[in-house]
Amino acid sequence: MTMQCRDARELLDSFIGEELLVETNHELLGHLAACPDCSAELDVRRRIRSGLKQAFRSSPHLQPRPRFTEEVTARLRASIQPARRRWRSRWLPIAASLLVLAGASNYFLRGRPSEVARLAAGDHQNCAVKFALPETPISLKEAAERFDPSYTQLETTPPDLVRTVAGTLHVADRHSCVFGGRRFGHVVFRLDDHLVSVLVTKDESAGASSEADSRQLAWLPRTNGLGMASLHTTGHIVYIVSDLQDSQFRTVAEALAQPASRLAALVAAYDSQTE
Amino acid sequence: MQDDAEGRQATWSGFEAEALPHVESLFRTAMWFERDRNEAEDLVQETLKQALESFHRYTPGTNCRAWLMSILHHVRSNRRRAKGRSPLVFEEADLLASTVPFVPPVPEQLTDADLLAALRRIPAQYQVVIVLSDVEELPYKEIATALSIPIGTVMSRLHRGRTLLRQELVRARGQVIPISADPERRRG
Repeated sequence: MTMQCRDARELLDSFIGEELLVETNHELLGHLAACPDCSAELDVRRRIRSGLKQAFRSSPHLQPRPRFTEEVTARLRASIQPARRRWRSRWLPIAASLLVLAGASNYFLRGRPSEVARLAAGDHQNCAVKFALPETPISLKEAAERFDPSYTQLETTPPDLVRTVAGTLHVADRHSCVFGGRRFGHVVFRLDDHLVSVLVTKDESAGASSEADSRQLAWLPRTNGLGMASLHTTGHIVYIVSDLQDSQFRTVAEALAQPASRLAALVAAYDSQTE
Repeated sequence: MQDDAEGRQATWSGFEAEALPHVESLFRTAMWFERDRNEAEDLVQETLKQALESFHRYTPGTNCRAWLMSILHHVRSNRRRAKGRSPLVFEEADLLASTVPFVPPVPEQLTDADLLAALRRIPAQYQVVIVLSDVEELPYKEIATALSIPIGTVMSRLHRGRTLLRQELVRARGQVIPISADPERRRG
């Protein structure tokens, strides 16, 4: 029985998708060879299909950032490494130094934020929140090679997942970016619908900052509606920035600034699982 | 311990070879539906994380992209549910799939922007199947698995969605010409 146009039209999409049985395929091909209308219809459907595919592949809006694949790969690779080795080889020296930096974490200081602090707040808003920086961020590895070796520490510190009583922070991105002419090492965390930035930048004032005594977590005034805290190390300032409410923000900032206690808990948990 | 290390390395090698080549494709699909770069990146990251954790369930040599797309849509569906938004199921709309009024002629010149804008204007449940079928070239069976719907629903949504897409392409160019979908009737 000869295939009718109506039947052929119903099969065209399955034909294009190579979903037809061999016999049906053969029958349809016979109809198409004899029917210019259905053949033209097939061309239209193919044109739309290939056009859509091409549009997805060429639309700039739909393409990942240049370093996205590289970053995802790095995070996944890190997640499959043995936990004990990662903690001990990378975390312990960092934890030891940050333990000193954290110091008395309930130390409060209120004052006028410095220009650098305002730039950190601006970077959080324009990079983490809006993706609106004029200069494309680069990987931490590249930033370490070109600008500051210390940025490599941010590839694994803080860890991808930080549990706090306010909720669990998940890393969304790690990179280096520039805002207002200042370069930052930038780790972006997500906490529910909020973003939390850890921003590291060089401290040219060499300990002359007005924001805090060195090596203590300092609470800065909210800037552009953002909660801010800072830590000063030798040669660097670490900012923690987020739109979280004050109480949540303090909980999160303290958790980020106290890796040693968290590390101890994690190592204990790991040991109990492996014994 | 050595075996563990070798096992992890073998898993990673397999995952790197089979799954990671599809990151860009996953991102494009995620970006289309999330419309937010942060959300899309997060969705892809979570998809790959879950894929890596369950990579032992993947059968080498099968369609890894389809497997990843399936995970992506499950992750997205769960997230939407957690946020209180409805899952991507619109059974009532599916009932309309067999009542396509007409298939208009498509303009000769179609730009990428025309196609994407038209696709964006049709209901989400049709966008999903069109993207998975026409862009990602997944077989019906894989689409059905990815979206947890019967193959028949995949086919009816594709039929309805493609017709709506053509209507939108014509509408955008101001060329609405109602013509019967039935070629036998068209021929009089």
